[in-house]
Amino acid sequence: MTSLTRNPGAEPEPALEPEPGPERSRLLEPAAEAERESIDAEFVPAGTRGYRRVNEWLTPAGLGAGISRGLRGLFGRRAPIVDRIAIVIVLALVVVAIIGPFIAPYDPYLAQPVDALLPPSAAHWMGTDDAGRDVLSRLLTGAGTTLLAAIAVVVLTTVIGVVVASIAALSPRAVDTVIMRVCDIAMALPAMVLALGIAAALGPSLGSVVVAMVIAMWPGTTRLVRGILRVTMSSAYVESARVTGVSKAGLLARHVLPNSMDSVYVQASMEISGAIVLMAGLAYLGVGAPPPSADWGAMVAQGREYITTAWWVTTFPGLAITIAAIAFGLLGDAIRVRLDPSLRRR
Amino acid sequence: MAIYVAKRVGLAILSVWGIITIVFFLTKLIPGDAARVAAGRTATADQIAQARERLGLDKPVLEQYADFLARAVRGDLGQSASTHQNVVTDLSQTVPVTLQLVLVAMLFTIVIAVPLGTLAAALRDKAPDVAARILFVLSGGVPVFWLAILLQWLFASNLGWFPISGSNAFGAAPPDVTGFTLVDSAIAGDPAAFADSFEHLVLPALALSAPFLSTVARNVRSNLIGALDTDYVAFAVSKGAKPFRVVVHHGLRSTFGSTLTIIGMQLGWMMGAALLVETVFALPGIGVYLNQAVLNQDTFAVLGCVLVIGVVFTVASLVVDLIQIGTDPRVRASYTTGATA
Amino acid sequence: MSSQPLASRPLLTVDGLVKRFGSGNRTHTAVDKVSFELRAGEVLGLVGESGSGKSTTVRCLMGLERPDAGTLDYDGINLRRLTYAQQRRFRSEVQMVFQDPYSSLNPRMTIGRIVAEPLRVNTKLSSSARRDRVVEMLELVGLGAEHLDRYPRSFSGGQRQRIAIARALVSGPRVLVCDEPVSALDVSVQAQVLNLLKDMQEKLSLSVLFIAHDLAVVRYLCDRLVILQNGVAVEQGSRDEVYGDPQHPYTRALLEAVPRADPAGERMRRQSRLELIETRTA
Repeated sequence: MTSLTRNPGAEPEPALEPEPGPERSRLLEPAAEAERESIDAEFVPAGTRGYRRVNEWLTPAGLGAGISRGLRGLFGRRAPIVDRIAIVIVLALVVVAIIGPFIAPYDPYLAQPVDALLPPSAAHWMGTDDAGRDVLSRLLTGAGTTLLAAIAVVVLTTVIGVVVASIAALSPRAVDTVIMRVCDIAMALPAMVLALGIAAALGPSLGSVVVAMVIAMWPGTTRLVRGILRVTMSSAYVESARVTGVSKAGLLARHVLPNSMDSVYVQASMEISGAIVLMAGLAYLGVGAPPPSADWGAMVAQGREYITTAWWVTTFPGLAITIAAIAFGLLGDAIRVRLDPSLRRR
Repeated sequence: MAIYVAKRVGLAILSVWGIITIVFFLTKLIPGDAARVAAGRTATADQIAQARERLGLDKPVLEQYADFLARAVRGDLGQSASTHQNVVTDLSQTVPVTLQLVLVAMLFTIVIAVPLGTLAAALRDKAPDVAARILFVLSGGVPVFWLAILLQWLFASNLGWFPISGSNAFGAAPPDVTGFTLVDSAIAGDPAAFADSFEHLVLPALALSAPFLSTVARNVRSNLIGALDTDYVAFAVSKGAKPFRVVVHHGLRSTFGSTLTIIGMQLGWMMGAALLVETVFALPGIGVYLNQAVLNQDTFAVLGCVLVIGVVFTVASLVVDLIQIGTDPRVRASYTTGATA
Repeated sequence: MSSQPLASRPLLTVDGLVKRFGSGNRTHTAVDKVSFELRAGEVLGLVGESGSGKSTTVRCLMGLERPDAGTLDYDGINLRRLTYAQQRRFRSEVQMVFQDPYSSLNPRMTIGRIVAEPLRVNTKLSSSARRDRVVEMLELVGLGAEHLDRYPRSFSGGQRQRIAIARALVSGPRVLVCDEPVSALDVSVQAQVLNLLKDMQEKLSLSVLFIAHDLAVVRYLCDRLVILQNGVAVEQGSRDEVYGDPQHPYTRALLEAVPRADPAGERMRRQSRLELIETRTA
C-alpha cells in the first residue's frame, strides 16, 4: 500500500468553509464576501449545500463565525431595516447617556415654581414638571444613570451567573443539583417582588436598587448559563479533549467557556431591556434613586399625579423607557436570530 | 406515573419551604428594626422593647425561624405591624383581588395572543404578520405601570369609557363572600354588580396582559411556523387538507404544550407585575399590601405575601406539569419510562 | 500488511461489558455482555450497524460512559477503578479519533494548540519542544507547519481528520481507538485517511481498535474482527476466518452488503442476498 499522505494538495475534498449561499451572503459585506469566495472557489462541489450549512451552524465554530458575521451584518448595508433602526437607537442612547448632562438646556435639578407644569413649547420642548424643571433636561441627565444602572445589573448578574454555573459544572453531581435547585426555588419569586423587598430594606439609593436587582436576577441567569455550558460540554471537541486527559478545570477554561461565551453575551444583551423596565417599575414603587434624581422611572412616578392636567410630565419619561427597552430588546433579538438558523425565517 | 406525581408534589412543597427560608433570612440579614416600626414613631425605648418581646424578636434568629415555620403550618402567619391585623386576615382580603386581576389578565392574554399569533404565523411575512410583530415588540417593551397610567388617562379620565380606579363603584359592590368580585356578584345574582366589577377590571387587566401577551403570541407564532414547516404538515397539505385546517388542527395542537408552560411561568411573574398595576388603579390587592409592608419593614406581612406569591407560582407550575403529562404523549412517555424524570 | 507478532499478549481486555440506557422498568440494553481483547500490535475491527452498541462500547472504554457491569482492563489497570496515576497513564497511552471531524476540533483553538494539547497535558515538554513535535506530527500526517496558526474552520473534512489523527498520535500512545473515523467523510477521501491510519499503525507499531459499520472499510485494515449485533458480539475471529467462512447469519448479511466491482458476481450475490432474506424472514 502506498501512502498518499505526502500530497495533501491533491485532495479533491469538499470545502468546509461556509459557501456564500443566498441567505448567508445577505449578512456579509461585499468585501468580506469576495474574500470568502476566493478562499472557497476551488472547493465548493454541488449538492453539499444544505448539509454543509446545517453542519456549519451546528458546530460552535459556525456559531463563532456566525456572531462575527451577525455583528457585521447588523452594521452592514443589507441588514434588515428594523435591526438597523435598533442599532441607531441604541447608539443614540449611549451617546445621550454620555453627553446628556452637557447638552441639557436647563439645570435639571433647579426648582422654579413660577414655571411649573408648562406645556411643551419652543422654550421647553417637553414642557416642565411640577417644580418647574425642564423635562427634556431631566431626561437627558437621567439617561446616563438609568442605562448605566441597567447595564451594571446585567453585567453583574452575568458575571455571577458564569462563575456559579462554572462552579456547578466543576462540582460533583450532587452539588450541581443543589445549586440548580436553589436557583429554581429563588426563581419561583418574581424578580419584581424580591428586588422590591431587598431594595426597600437597603434604603433609597440607586446602588441599593442595583444590588437588589442583582440578587433577584442571578438565579435565572445562572440557570441559563448552566444550560449553555451543558450544551457545550456535550460537544465532540470537549469529549475529545477529555479522552486526551485534560482535567475538568482545563476543559472548562480552554474548551467550554470560550465556546459558550457567545451565547452568554447574547443572553445578556437580551436581559438589558428587562432590567431597564424592572428598574423603572421599582423606581415607580418608590425604591430607587431618591428625589430630585432624574432617574426615568422616578420621573414617571413624580408626574403621575398631574397626568390629567399635564400629560407631558409622565409621558415623555415613559416613552424614553419604552424606546430604550424596545431598542435593546430588538438588538438582542437580532443577534440571537443570526445565531440560530432555525429562527432565521421566523 | 403516580410516583412521578407524588415526587412532583413533594418537590413543590420543598420549594415553598425553600422560598420561605430564603426570604426569612433575607429579612434578618438586611438592616432595619421591625420592633421600632411596630411600636410606632413616637414610641419610647420601653415600648420598643415591649414590641420586640411581643413579636418574638428578642429570641435567637433560628428560634424565630422555627417559631414562624411552626405557626405557618398551623395557618398563623403572625400579626402585621402596620395594620395590626392578623396577616392571614389581611391576605384573605387582598389575595382574591390580585388573583382575580391576574386571572382576567391571563384570559385577555390568551384571547388576544393566540389568535394573533396564529394569524401572524398563517400569513407569515405578509402585512398582518409584520403589523402583529410590531405590536408584539411594542407590548413587550412598554413598562406596565406607564401603560397603565396612559390607559387610565385616555380611556378613563378623557373618554370616560371605564372607571378610573378601585374595584367597584360606590354602593355597587356585591356582598363579600369569596373576595372575587366577579364570583360574588354572580353568587348574589346581580348582573349590574357583575358588569360594574368587570368594568373596573378591564383597564388594569389590559395593562397587565401587555408584556405577557407579547411573549405568548411570539411563542405561538414561532411554534406554529416550526410546526407548519414539518413534514407531517406538508403531507397533510399535499393530501388536500385546507391550509387553515392544517394550521388549527396540526399546528395549534403541537403548540399547546409550550404555550401552556409559558402561561404557567407567567402566572407567577404576573403577580409581580400586578404590584404596579394595582398601585396605578388603586386596587386593594396583595401588591399594594406588599409594597406598604416592605416600605414599613413589616416583616410578617412581607413573609406572608412572599409565601402566597411563591405558592401561587409553585402551584401554577405544578398544574402545568401535570396537565402536560396528561395531554402530551411524548412527555407522558418520557416520564413513565423515567428517562427524564 | 502488518506483520504482527504471533501470540502477542492482550493489551486491552473487555469482559462481559454491559451498558443500559434509561431507568425504571423500561430500559434499553445497548451493550450486552460483550467481551473481546485487543492484542499488542494488532488492528481489531469492531463492526456492526448503527445501534449495534459499538460506539457505546468504545465510549465505556474511554470513560465517556459509565458501564453497568463487566471489567475493562488496560495493561493490568482496572479501568473502572483508576487511581490518579493510572488515569494519567491510561489517558496518555490510549488516544482516540472521533467520528465527526467537523465537531471534534475546538473551533476556538488554532491547529497548533489543538495538536499540542495532549503534550501539554501528558508530558513535561517545553513549549518550543512541544512546537517542534507538533510540526513533526503535522508533517507526518501530510500537513505543513504553515497550518499551525489556522483555525479548524479553514480545513476540509479530510484535513480535519488528519489533524485529529495528529492530535491522537502526538504524545506517542500505544493504543489508538478510532470511532468510525471515515464515515463522515466523502468517499473519495476515505481511502486517503484509511491509508494514513494504516501507515501510522505500521510506522509507530500501534495497536488499533477500529470501529466501522460495514465490512468493506475494515477488510483491508484489520487483523481480527468482532461483529456486533444489537449489543451482542455474535462473531469474532481473524480476518480470513470472518471473510472466508462467516459463521453467523448476520455476518453473512453484512458481507453480502459489501459491493464488488464484478457485474456477474454481483448478480449472483444479489440472488443469494434475496435467498438469505427469505430464509431469515421465513
